[in-house]
Amino acid sequence: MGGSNMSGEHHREESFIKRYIFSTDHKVIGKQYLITGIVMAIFGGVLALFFRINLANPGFLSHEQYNAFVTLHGAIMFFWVAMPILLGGFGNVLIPLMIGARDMAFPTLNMMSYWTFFLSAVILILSMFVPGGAFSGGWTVYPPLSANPEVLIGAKWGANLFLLALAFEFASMLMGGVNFVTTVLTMRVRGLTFMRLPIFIWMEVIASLVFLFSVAPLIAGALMLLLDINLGTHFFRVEAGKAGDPILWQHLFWFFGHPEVYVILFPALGILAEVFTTYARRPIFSYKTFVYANIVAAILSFLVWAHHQFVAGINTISALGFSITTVLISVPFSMSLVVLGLTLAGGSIRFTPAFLFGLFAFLMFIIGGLTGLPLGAVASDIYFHDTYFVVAHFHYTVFTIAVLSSLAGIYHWFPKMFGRRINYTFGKWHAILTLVFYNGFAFPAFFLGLAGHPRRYYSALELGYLQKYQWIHELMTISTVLLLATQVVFIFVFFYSIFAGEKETEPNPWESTTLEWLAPSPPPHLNWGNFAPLVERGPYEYAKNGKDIDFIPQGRLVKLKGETAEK
Amino acid sequence: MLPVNISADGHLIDLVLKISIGGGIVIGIVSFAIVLYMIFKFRRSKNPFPLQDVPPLLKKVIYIDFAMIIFDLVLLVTSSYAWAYFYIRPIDKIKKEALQKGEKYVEVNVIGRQFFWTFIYPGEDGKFGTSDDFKLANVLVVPKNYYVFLKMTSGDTLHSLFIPNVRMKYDTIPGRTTYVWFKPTAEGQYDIACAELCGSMHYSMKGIMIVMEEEKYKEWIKNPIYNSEDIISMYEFKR
Repeated sequence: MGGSNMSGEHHREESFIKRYIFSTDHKVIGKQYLITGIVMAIFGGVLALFFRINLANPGFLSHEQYNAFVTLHGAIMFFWVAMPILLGGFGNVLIPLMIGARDMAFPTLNMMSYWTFFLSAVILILSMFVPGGAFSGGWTVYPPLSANPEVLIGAKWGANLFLLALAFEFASMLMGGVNFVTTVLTMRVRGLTFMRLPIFIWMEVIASLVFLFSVAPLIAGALMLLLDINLGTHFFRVEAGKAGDPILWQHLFWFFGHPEVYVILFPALGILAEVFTTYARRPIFSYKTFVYANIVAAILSFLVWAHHQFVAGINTISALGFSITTVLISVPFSMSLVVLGLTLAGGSIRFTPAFLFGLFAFLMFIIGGLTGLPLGAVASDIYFHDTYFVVAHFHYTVFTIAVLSSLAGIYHWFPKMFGRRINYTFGKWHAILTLVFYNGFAFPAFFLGLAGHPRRYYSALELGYLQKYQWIHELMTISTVLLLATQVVFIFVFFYSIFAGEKETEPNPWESTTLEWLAPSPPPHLNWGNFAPLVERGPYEYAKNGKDIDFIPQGRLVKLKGETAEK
Repeated sequence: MLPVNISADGHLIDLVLKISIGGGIVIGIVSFAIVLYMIFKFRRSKNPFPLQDVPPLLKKVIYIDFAMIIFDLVLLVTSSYAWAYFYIRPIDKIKKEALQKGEKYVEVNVIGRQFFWTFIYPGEDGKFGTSDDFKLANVLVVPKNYYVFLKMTSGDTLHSLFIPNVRMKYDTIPGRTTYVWFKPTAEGQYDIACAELCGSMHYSMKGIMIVMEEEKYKEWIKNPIYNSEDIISMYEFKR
């Protein structure tokens, strides 16, 4: 394959700053997103550690700190961890490589996207140190609480900076989304038809489109909220004689907020598809079913938002309609999961760390999906709404997305991204311990939900009927501490492996089929040197004759004649 | 772990809870079993080369999708029925039907504020806006086997009145009126919680619902005692 020839041909003298900081190279930007996401995950995890300690031992934090940490933890894990890692990180690194392009369609916009994101993270952290303290009104920012500094300390500057940080984050992801969609539409290499795209690419495009279509109402809402906070308007605030509508915010927020969950879910499912096919050595069970089911789910995702508001004062007949769409969205997702599961059938499974994380993510998605039904069915949601059952459910979905699936992706593509390996034995223990401790904190929350424990409670000791469940909180806190300790070790190993891990010279160590594995590890600037990939078949040509030919790569590299990559 | 149900109609909610969780457990266990079977059977050390086709028996796993659709439909029918029963029927109609059946009801107005509940009683005459109206803080006293209609609003931000033992929860919203109704069937005292983040002391916004025999309630409302502990000691409640 001539990997060594390709990397040396176009030496460009670039300063360190241009190469690693203000770089327009999609791989560098992707790694910047990935590492920023990991750093923010540490931050979000430490916040969780603090408020979990408080729940086991009330009094550890002040009431305002507790609510602020819960608020920031939610927002960070969604917008500053899951999105940058799954979209900004894997999307940027993999989209051009998987479609055989040399970079994204708009490399400068891509660089601006990352630095806007970086700025948003800085603003978010600064918001903790403003007069009045950090915003503590929940990541859903429900007014009138969030809009009225008289009822919530921190609803002034804390809320302003929180909303500003979100605005920059959305601006960043909009730039990224436009870039992703344009790149996939226009820069696929010869032979790469839509139905030959790796599933991961489909999922990134669907996620980007869902984001682009859903974000506008929230931006309008956030502007009104800022006016309410700072100029005393009454879009959402209600005071005598000046009746704004707090429910309106909930509609604007969840019209974005629910599709947003799928924005991070789709790339996670894409990672699982790549990981399952590679390590089970089987083609995906039904490519078309998977793609179409997720397109249907993406469209349905715009019609379910008010299931967050069943008992919040919306029209009770429309609640019934939203309940129907919500329960029915389980059908396309169950189809996706069945396709993923049957990809293992008849395989020859290699239990690598990436596969273990993928498998665990898959199993936890099943729990997360099925526990969505009691919340989507409107009558059972009367009881479960805003209880720990919701907390358990969204940790089985969002933690699975943001952590388990991301880790599957990190272990899978680490050799490609950095040209080195993460220790195998460590990876397996990492996967197993993460699964155990994760369930240790998330599963007991279902029981708290059944017992009717409302969420966002500073302490369970205040309400009589909850006091006897304090031991569950203690168990969850111990599991959280162990879970975080495991991840701290991982983060150390991760950074160690980037610089000093075992060198991986083989471009395709997992014997995978998609195009990124044809490039050298790590791929040079502009990816393909004096070669260009040519796609000849579908993305998952495994299990060819059941014996010696185990897989056929999706394409091959062709040497360019008389042209250079610089063009 | 569900708290005891003391609402005459709470079994409807409990039925939906059981269907939604039970169905999930069945489908979940079947799915887990199939996945674990596959990773055991098709591990590399036992099956060094992948099969070229999925074994026909495993292809039947796609029936899980059909099981899912049936589960969804059963869940939607029961859930929608229960929801319509509690929330789509107009309150006035529910009251009228209760009277026709020879049932009795009480009405209490509720205001949520940071961080306490105010329960406003019409007094002995049963009419709001008269001189015998009175207010209780964090105590809701209701007669057993009466329908209870709570007409709720909020004085500042969003709250949510949650009484786990009657399976009812609904937000209170400034500038709007919302309702909760139920029919308690067992004497005793039951916790009331706030289920919508309302500020720093959200977790401590708690109330107590005391359900009394009809005669005791009639005696109490003539000469209301405001403090929950006094009520409990006076009427000799067992917890």
